[in-house]
Amino acid sequence: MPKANHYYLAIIGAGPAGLSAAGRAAWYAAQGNAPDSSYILVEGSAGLANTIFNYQKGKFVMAEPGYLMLRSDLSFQAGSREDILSSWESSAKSVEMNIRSDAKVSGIERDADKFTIQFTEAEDITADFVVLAIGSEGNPRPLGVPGQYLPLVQYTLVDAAEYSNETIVVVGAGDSAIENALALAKQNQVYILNRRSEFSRAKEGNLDAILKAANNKNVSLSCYYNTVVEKVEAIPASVDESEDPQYQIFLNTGEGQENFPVNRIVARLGSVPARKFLESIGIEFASENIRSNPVLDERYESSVPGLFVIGSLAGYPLIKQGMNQGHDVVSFIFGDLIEPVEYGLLEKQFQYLPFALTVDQTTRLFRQRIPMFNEMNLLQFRELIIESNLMVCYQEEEVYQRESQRARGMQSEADKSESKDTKIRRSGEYIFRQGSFGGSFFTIIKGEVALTLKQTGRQIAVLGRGQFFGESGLLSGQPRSCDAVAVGDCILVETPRRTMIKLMNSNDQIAEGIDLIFRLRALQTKIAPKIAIDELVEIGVKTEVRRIRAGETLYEPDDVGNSLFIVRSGSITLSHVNHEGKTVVVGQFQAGAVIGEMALMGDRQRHHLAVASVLTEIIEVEEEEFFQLVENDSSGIEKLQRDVSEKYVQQNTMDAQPDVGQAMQFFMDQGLGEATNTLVIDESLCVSCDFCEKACAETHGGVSRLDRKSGSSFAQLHVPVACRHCQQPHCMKDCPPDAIHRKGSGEVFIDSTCIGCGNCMNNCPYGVIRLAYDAPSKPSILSWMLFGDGDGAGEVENYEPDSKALAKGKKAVKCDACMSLATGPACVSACPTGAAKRLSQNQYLSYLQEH
Amino acid sequence: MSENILTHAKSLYLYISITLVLVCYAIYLSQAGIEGANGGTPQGYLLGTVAAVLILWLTFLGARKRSFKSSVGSVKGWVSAHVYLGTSLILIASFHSDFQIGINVHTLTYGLLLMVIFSGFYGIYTYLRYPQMLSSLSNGRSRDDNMAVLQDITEGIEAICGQLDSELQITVISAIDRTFIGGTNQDILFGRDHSTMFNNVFEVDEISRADVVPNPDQQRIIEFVAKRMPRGSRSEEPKLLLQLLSLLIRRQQLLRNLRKSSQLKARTKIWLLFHIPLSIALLVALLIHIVSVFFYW
Repeated sequence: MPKANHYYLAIIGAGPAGLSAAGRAAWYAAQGNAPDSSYILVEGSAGLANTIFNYQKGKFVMAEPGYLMLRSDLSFQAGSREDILSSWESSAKSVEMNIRSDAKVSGIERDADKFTIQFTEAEDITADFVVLAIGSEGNPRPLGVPGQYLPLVQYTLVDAAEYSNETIVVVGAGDSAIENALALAKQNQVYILNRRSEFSRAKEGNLDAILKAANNKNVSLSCYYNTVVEKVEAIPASVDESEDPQYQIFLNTGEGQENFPVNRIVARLGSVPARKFLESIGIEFASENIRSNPVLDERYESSVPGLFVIGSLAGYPLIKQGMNQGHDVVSFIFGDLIEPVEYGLLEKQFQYLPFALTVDQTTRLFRQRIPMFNEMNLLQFRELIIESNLMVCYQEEEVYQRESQRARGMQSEADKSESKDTKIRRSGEYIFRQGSFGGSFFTIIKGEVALTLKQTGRQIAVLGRGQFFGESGLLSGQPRSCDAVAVGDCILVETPRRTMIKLMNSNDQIAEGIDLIFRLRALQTKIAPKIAIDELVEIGVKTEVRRIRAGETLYEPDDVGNSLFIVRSGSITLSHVNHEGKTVVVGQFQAGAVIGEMALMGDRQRHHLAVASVLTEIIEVEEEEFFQLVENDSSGIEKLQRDVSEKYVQQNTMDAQPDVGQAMQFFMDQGLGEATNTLVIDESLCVSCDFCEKACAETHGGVSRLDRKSGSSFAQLHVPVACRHCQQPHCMKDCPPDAIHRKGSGEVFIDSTCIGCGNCMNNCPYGVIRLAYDAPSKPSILSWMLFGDGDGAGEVENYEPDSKALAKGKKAVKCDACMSLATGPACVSACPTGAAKRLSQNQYLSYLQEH
Repeated sequence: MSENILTHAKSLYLYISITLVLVCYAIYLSQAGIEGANGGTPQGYLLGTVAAVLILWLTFLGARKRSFKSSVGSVKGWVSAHVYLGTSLILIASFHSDFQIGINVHTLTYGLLLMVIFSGFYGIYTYLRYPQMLSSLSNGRSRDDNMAVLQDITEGIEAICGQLDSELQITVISAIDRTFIGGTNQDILFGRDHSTMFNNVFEVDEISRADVVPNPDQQRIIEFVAKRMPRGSRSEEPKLLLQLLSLLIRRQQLLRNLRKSSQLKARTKIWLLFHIPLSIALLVALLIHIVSVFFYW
């Protein structure tokens, strides 16, 4: 291998993380203490920071999280896409960064002492160390046939108007293929190739559009079905440089072969997940879970020695995090064992603790005391603590006063907005209350916490050092199932839901540990209240958690039942065929409910069809375990039996009211099984005045968050497009700045740190989130009434945002159930006829019966 | 059935209004003396004041409805009270005037008041009656859904027409092209149908000509096709005509449905165009009425 092709360090991917890494490598090179040809930055596309380049023009890029400092040779602060890109470009130029762009990596191999990096179109290079910073989006799936890398094949289409009078083949049957084909067909002859016999993957609108275009003689577009590309070849005799196609495509059409000259091939075949590429190099992942991240040590080194992973591919989607990691990882590789920038954050958090220990000592102490923390690598642990709040409770009033004053003093010294709060509390105050929403997870570092049931005042458990609680809210999305109170002095770590979810996705042991505790506590509360958790383990491990997709069956009538089920999340609908031969819903059970127990305490035969109405998790307890539990502790059986009798009455009542059952089925079909707070309109009262929408706009800066006309109707019930405040909000899944929160009272809302990325909008299955500019202010209602100024109440259709709103950019807007209004949701209180109501799950039945 | 504006809070405001009317009646009856009952007696002034305050409060609903952050009762409660107390004004104002009618500003005020109230009665009727009718008309489908179905049916008709003789083809297509939906506000409000179609298609110098005749409710085109049924020329024709007829009748139903929905929606809004301006006129008349009575003093 010629020396010219060998580097000490190869950085792959010129996004923020890769650029920052290269910036640090350039710094080392400039210091003169790095080996010759010390580094190279490799980028598959033509420019730097492709993801940011592809943002819409003028998009405002945020610099979250605010509490994290930037440590990089490149600058980065919140600003427009253009400013950020040009600052990076000029930085790269000024340090003469060694960049090879347009170089698509096709593989990485490791032999004894070096890595070989292969490219699709260039000679291999070798390197001692590799930093992977390729992002998480993955690469477009190639055609996979001879000729796939010829220059006429492209995998993206930026502007269809650039091409005219060409013969273009679009390969693919998804939405992007269809949209590209339709756009190109305006000025070109287009063929779209579908491997299957129909466009089943596409959205309905696209499907209609492509079929119409294909059947319209005036549109120069035709479809090939059941057709694959065999190869692409250059036309050999083509010597002149005219516009004639210089390539031809060979197709297998299912009926035979066909070939024709072509100017351009646009392949839109989806993307190969980055994970596959990483696994091909030998990098291990934490679990099978699709969302899990690669296994990394605290210096970002993967399971392949010498290969480092940073940025969103490593599970850190924010620009600043990636840039810091780029800086740090290169420092490590060049032998500087610097403290990571997060170290300072830990220091800040630990200073409120009643310990006189260094950060390292405290970290060690935490990890020693908490078995769960020991399961984590240092990277995960650091993230968990930084993203968590510490909570210190003091029993003695005097100590409490002194410590809270000390904390207040320190907090006002530091910039308050940029540091995490450490909560100082009195022991005996509620940590959380039964019935309030919350998905955060608590770990006890020191002291004890008592869990108590509100209704009976019965203490379920007193937990000590190393134990945790709050797993029920975390896993089920339901309100807290008990009160939690600190006993004596105690120190807790409160970890937000999204950090826990990420941790559980990437650490199987922790996921299993939390899962087991959930099951044990469920067994205790539902079946055997007097048996201690420790004693339940033996039986508990035999229970099983099952995930059932929406529409899947849990059991059917005439099955012989030998287990009961505890619904952990989601909801289950019971139905059966009544005496008239109609299918009737007779029950709907949400998280926390026990179902199927009738088979163990009455007739063994199942009488109903149990179907998951949304993605549901259930804990299955088999007969043997159930009877074992009941034998050891018979105190719970009476309540179970009472519930069974009640259920028989209720189910038979529902049976006699098939209309109610059908309406309930309609609710479930609308996804209301996972809702906590849904707007329902009684069509028999609604006069279409739209005051619900107007009220929404007037109470939310002129932008309405509900669409009355859209949505579905059944039997004079209308479920409009409006947020339902799901048990496990889909919108919260993937929010880069963590801007979506849930209040204790259940409202899911977006705060001002939204960056307008649109993830929540795409993740919401009910279409209730949109991106909107701030609406300009309007004349008051009074001046509208008296002088006719402006448009009156409500959102102005197609309003023109002012320059301030344009600079701020579009932000996600959704219903917050008017949490700041004393009068409750404005859509409901503004309804002049009482047609609009907001319902929680346990109100469905009585509402429908009344209706 | 859900609680509507009349049954709100178990019709609390009905009972309040009845009580108010009874109290006012007692005040009315308490008028005695030489002159008897009149607006000018102390009792008359009292009743007039009650009525004027009520009128002001009733018109304030427009503002309350738009104070979206207000916590003074629920809007539904206000509407319920508006209906019952507004109705009670018929009697209270009559007690105040002792049922005297003349040609003057006082009677004008009284007349306007009645007009406002009776336009409100129509509003109540539309609010209570039409939502259910609309809901059962739409049967869970949105207007867009219906328009899509209409488009599908139309395309089906066009496809069949392609296989028929030119007279049939031209006539049926003309009926589709000349189908009338929407129109002016008046057309919608009265459910008018100005649809037309060609009739007596004939050829002159290879150019088709025809008369244009009205085709309200698509009835004429349906009869035209039905008439052709037993007179088919080709063996496939009856089958095609049957399909065509069935599609035309489905289309007729759908159009009726759409027209009726638009009409009902228009009616639920139209009354406000009388109720509100009349209320403002009433306020002006009321002011003149009050100022002018001071000259009698």
